[in-house]
Amino acid sequence: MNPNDLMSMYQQMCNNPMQVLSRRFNIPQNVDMSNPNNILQYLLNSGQVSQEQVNRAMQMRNHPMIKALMNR
Amino acid sequence: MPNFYPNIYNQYPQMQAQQPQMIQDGGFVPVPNEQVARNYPVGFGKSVTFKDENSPYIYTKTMGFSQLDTPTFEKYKLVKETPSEGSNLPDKGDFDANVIISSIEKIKGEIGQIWAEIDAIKKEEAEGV
Repeated sequence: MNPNDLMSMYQQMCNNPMQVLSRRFNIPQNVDMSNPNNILQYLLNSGQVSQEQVNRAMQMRNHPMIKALMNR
Repeated sequence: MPNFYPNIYNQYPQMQAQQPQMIQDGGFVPVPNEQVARNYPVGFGKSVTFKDENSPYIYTKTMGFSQLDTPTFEKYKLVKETPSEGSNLPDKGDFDANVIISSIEKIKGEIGQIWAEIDAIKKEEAEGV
């Protein structure tokens, strides 16, 4: 992948991360993307992630480094 | 703008291999309150146990095997046991005072008999000498 494509990907993520997410995981329009729990529930129901992965991701939110990144 | 995600990602992924139809425990998950536990995403046939970080409660959320099933939510309160409560002594209500008194009197009588036997043995030994 060339640097230009990489930059373009980065810009897509910055401009509309939800669109990138829904395209990557094939999330339908009727899923309310404003609530992360709805996204995770869909990913669980469709078998794209496991319960253990969800648990680990949810607990990562409490990590001090992650909290510092989110507060920027 | 080109789509950098090839078609393989847009196709519906294959489901995981068939697993036995049983509830699987995901382990303790810390949560700040009950509402977070209630809204926590849980997969079909899964059960997740939560530990409330701010209150003495344990919660469990269990999902059925279809979207038609209502998730089951249970709440357990943690109660600290004091050392005396944790002992094997029966409740005070199980004690009958009269039974205890009669038992003590019986034991006193038996002790008295034992002392009498000891005295008799001592006397026999003294006479035998």
